[in-house]
Amino acid sequence: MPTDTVISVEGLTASYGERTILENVSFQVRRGERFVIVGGSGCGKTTLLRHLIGLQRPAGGRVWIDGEDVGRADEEQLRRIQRKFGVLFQSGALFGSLTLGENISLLLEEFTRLPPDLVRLIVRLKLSMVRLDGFEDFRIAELSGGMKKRAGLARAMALDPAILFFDEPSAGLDPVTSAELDELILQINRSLGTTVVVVSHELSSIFTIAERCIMLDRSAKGIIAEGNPHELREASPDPRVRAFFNRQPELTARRVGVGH
Amino acid sequence: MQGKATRQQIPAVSGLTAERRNGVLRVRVTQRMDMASAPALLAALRDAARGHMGIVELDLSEVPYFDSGGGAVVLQFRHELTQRGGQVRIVGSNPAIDGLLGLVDPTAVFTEPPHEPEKNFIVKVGEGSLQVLRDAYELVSFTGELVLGLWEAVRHPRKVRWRETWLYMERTGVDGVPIVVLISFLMGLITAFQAAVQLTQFGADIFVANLVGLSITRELGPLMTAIIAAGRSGAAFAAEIGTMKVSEEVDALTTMGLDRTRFLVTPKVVALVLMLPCLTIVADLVGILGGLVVAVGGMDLPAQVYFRQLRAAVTVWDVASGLVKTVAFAVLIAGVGCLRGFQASTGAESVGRTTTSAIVAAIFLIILADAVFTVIFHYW
Repeated sequence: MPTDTVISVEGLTASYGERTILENVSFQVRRGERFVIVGGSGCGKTTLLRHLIGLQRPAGGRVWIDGEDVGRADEEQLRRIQRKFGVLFQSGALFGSLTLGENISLLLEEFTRLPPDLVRLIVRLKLSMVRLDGFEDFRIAELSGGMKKRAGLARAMALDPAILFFDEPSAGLDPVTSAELDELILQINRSLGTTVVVVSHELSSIFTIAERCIMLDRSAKGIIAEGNPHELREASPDPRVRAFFNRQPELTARRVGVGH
Repeated sequence: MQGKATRQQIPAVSGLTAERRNGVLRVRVTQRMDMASAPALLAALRDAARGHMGIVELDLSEVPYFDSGGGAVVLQFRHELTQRGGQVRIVGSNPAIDGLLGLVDPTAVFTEPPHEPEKNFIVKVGEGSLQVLRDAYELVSFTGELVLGLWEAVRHPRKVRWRETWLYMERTGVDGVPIVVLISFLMGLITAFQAAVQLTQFGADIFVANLVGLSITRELGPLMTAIIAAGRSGAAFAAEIGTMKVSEEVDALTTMGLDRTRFLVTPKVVALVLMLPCLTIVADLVGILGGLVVAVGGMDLPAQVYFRQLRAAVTVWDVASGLVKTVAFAVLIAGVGCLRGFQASTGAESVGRTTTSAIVAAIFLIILADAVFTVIFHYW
């Protein structure tokens, strides 16, 4: 594995019981890259993400994160690997029984030996990074949808992870808030050099964020395209890919494809 | 004339040197600035700048690794120095440092968020009273809804959602049989055993049947079954409706013009009203069998004698009065479970609170109702 590769998936097969979702999926993500996993509903995007972050074990193949095998790690190793990355879940998944600040300080208190005043300062630093200055004493229920996402991002970044995973960051957000979140993701990637892996089907987000993407397909049970989304939109030989990136119903795209 | 250069090495932190020249303190950091080293680094910086009032120049160009821990150190140090009239300039940095510090608004970080002013005693009392009134209002209006719903169910039994009711009957009734059997068997056993110890002293062994029979059918059977149902079914109702409330399913139901009482409450109440007496009958029977085991095994009474004595002691009314009570218990358990469920606000925590409160309230109401029934039956 070359040294600038931070995530490497080799021949991953994912299944729930008898039902196979993904078959023989392989790709790599470079350090500092903004990588997007795209595809229509039910294509296995979220399943792939769950394998990457160690919530599910592969039925076959391997998942390497920073040189360590996530799929075969034991509980102890997995926890250590998981500390290298942060995950922003679709709904934010903030703990409703804690305040926003406590959601972040929880991790700092558990995994570092920082004194309370520095913990508080770092919590504010994180909140400032996601433009939530002054909200640390708020209850989660008091936050709007966009704020919850940003708060979830702040928590995901609490321990300065090298990799950030995002599950559908724009789900449930209005276009403006969604664009702001995309901008924030870009900024964090550029300023901190954090590797960003996003699962999304939102075209505007994909075009903004992705340097490179892979497209999954339900019937193919795997990757049907890989590359820069702008290039895929213009020049993919696969009508399914063009249909997706041009936001067309698949039937029309096929017809256009015949015309080419 | 060049100023005298003083060089000092700060212990504990290996990669930090401070140099004072012409009233400017120049601090050079060459080690990792991360969360692990942050406390020591901050202490070292404070040490180096102790008593220094003027400009501090921070040279961070050779820092190999910099994360939020380092960011916190730099910001905190700069904040402290600015507060005492000094100044911190970052004269050397690298892209990682610039990137991280560029994301942060340094003034906002040190601005205390506005705190709500402490409420005074009178305001607190007022708010408390309003809360009590609101709760009372909710209780009364829910009781009204429940009574109307049940009246409607009696008048038009076809409008009851029997499919759901059937499901709840299975869950609250059939699924609860094993635990009811186990507990009431043990209750019968315990009662008989305790009685035996006293009764044998007087040679009144035979009366163990009276004692077990009456206490099980009149009190222990209905009460234990109701408390089990409160823990099993009342809690389940509260958690289910609470989660539906939190995930806006209750709102969806109301918005579609459907009556939440008919859909959510009536099936549960009807199911429990039908099943709790059945469970109690099971409990009565098994409890009496528990007594039999002690009578036969421990007191050498023949089973026939036990049953003959039992038939003389326990009347139909004893069993019936127990069953009448359970109908009231069932309404209370299911009703309070649903009411608490509707009172859930947001989040997992509130569902937990709701469920706890449902069980506690149900058990309290069961005991209270039992006391009332005892008095009523006494003067009947």
